[in-house]
Amino acid sequence: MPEYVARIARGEVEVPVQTYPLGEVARAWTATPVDGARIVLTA
Amino acid sequence: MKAAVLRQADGVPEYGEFDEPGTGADGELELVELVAAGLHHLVRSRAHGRHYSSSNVYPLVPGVDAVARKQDGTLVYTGDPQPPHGTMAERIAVSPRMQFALPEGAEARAPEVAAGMNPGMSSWLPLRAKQGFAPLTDAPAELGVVAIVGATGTSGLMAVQNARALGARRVIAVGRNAQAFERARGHGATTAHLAEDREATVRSVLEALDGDTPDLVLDYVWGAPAEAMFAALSGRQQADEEIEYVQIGALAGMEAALPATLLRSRRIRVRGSGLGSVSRARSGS
Repeated sequence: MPEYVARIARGEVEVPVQTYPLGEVARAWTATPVDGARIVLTA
Repeated sequence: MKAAVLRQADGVPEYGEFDEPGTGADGELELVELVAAGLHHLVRSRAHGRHYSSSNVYPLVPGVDAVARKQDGTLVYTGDPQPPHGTMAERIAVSPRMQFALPEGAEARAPEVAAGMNPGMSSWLPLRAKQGFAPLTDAPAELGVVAIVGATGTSGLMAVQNARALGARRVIAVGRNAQAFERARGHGATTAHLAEDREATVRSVLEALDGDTPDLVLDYVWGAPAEAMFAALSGRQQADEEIEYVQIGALAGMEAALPATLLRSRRIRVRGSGLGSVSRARSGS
């Protein structure tokens, strides 16, 4: 697991993301991801 | 504290107040602050009570993993909080054993780490298991031909990248989404089309394999696409190569009929990759 954390953190794996603030969790939960992005809630 | 709060199984989480998580009877857990948490398929199915690991206790805070900040300021990838607490909260109580530091200067990529660890590890673990978890500093063990069924979602596209990075000779990406096919080809995969008609899928898979037999199949969808893969593998004349078929996701159906003729005519092993399928000692967690 540590090696894979480092791979993503170094940008060696393409991970499309779609971010929402934690306060907009309801909107994030019902959102449709664009182009296969993974939805992420941020502090 | 503020958190995403889900009050019933069929609801939608709302931003509101939730009790602070405790640090365990013996203080064995550590409080960390949320930086980013991924909304994975697992998060939804667990929260809505549809996963075998669901707590079914409401209200709850969803979330299984996150990038978080420790009190000393360092960033860690962490998770596995105790229900009803989840990671979509200002503060998370986690075990020190479930903390993996991000490299220095990686804060800008915290959302990618939070987004990618769950879907990425779903293929990284079975690929590394196929290599016997040999150190990555050594020459990578031969992975041969890897087929990924359901390759056009986030997990599938990460599986394509992981297989190539770990030394797969060929990667066959089986899926439906034409736009995602372009990305899979960009990562070096040969694509095969999942059609409504099983025979069309079988033809497409056999054409993509071009005479090869997959050493490893990673299946993210199960259901009818898995049955089409079984048919494609059954139809091969060369029977010497061993196939390892790993069931990871079930987006197309919870069940798939496994033909007796496949089990008897090929050297094939079928297993799952999930929360309990690889020992923590072997996976390094």
